[in-house]
Amino acid sequence: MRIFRLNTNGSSRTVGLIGEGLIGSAIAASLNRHQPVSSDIHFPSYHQNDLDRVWTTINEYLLKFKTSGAVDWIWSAGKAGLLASEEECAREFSFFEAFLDRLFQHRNNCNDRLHLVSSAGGLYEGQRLVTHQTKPAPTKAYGHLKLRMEDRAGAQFKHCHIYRPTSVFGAFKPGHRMGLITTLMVNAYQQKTTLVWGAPSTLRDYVSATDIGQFIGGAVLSETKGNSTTHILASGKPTSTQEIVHLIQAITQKQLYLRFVDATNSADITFAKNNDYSPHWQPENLETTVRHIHHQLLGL
Amino acid sequence: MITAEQPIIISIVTPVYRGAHYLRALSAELVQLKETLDHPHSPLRLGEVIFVDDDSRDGSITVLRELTEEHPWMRTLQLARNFGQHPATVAGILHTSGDWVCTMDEDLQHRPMDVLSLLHKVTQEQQDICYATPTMGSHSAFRNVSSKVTKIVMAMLSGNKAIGKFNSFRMIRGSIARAAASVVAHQTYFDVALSWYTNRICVTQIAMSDMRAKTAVKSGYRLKALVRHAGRLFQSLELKTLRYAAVAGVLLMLAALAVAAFAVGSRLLYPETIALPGWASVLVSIVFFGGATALLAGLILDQIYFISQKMRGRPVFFVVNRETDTTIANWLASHISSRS
Repeated sequence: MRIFRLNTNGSSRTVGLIGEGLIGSAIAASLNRHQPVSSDIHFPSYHQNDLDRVWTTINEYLLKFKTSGAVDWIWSAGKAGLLASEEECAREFSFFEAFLDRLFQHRNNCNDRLHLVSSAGGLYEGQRLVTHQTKPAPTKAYGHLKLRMEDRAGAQFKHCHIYRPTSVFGAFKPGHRMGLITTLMVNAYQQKTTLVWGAPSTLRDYVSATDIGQFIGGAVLSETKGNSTTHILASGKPTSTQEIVHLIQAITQKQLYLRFVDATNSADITFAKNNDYSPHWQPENLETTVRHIHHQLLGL
Repeated sequence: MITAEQPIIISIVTPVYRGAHYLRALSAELVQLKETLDHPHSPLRLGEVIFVDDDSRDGSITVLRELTEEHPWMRTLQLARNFGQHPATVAGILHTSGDWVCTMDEDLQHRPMDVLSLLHKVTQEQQDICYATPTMGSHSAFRNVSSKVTKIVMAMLSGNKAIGKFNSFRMIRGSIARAAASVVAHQTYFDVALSWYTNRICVTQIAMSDMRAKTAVKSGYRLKALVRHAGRLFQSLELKTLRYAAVAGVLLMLAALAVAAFAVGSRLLYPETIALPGWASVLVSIVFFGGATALLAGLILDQIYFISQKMRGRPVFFVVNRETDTTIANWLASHISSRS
């Protein structure tokens, strides 16, 4: 977890980032461009027993940064994935609730804004041509968890901004999640077999963590009015696993070894990019992003 | 992936090049098709129409933006420059989500309601692709004849009988359409890539007429583009001539060995019959080494072809799901009969 103190457009903003995984680290990179003063708070296991200690530290930093106004809290934490069990999801929700309770306890100021990173994949699983008008219809515990988190956040915060990214991929970071595309690239170089949950023709909508980080970072810094919003962060281009495989083989010039597991999450999830997307959401072309990550991987 | 609870989605892809004149009329017919398909008891749904503007510069993009505003299920992709009809079609297909993908021209030569006939035919016969074939030549006489001759020559050279069926008005199983589109390279002919994935190809006769010729509007894709089109088809084919060269080489070598055996036999058994010594050796050498050269060239070209096919992404196998074909065919059969 990290607290940022940023000076943008002549005003100071304090941002608390909870969770620095694939998306969280991209948000941090986006915020870091504004040369903030930032402080890490050791919060490795995201365990409820740590919450009191963590909040004591947060308060110390808020005092140190002379934070008087509202704070933007970005929640991008979470270990559960699409195939997480009921128990894992229940544990995660309980931690989320506990954090929000502490937040209200310590900052009895409802002007704080919450930016919640949710999951379009979990909420719209099996639905095609999803738009902002499409109702979420989760089919798994993970999707229900995300919906409950959104409901809880929306009920508790007057200014709640929800981001629903689709299938995310990002730069290679050992020991961290990186998404299917980067995993395939890394495994191509390591000549490892990749387990793919789905069929070659399974359609997904891939977006890069960098694009998401830039969008959320920008939204956090530009947010002044504080209306609650929900954003679907999709590219609008359905892509089959086979297309990804072909693209990666062409870019890496390596043979991919794959094992397809036709599991319950092999249903297509696609998004129709209509005019109801935020004009600030401009995801980069898939092939360009994959080439960029490939360059990063090779250290170029 | 199709499941029983979900509607079967049809996607339509229309490359647009200098077609502003037709787009309003086309969209009106597409709306009519959507009303037919999105019938309450229908298993089908027209999920999306994707227009791909191939850098038209005739105001098409303005009309398309208006149509997209009016009908959120219509979408527009704008290509950075004029890439040509095939790349535009491929770009559109790679943005589809449908279980079936229909490609059609924007100039009303292909009528949206005929999509039902294509879909009925392809699902009734459990095929993967259905091409429309015009009841009469749909373009000018020159274009019809040159197109036919090109396809016959290509079919003969390649042995790919499907070439004669190729038409830009086609209904393709979605997974196959996207798979073929994803491996299409700069000079790959899209329909040839489709034939790498399936040989379940059928045709159905549909009335078409060249509306551009009738309305005196310039053809979108002109002669230069059509020649490029034929070049792309030639480059994509598995040319049997490569193998013919190798076979010819073997035959020449065998012939040379036979002539050599004859010459040696004559020299040993009937030396008096040889009037001019030396000619047989020269002839045998030329024929043998010519044959060997042809054989080696054929083998090398065959290997180059094999490597190029691998690089182009020609699949080893591909899995399809035809489970819902009967449902679609039955609904369309009852619906088409009730309409007529």
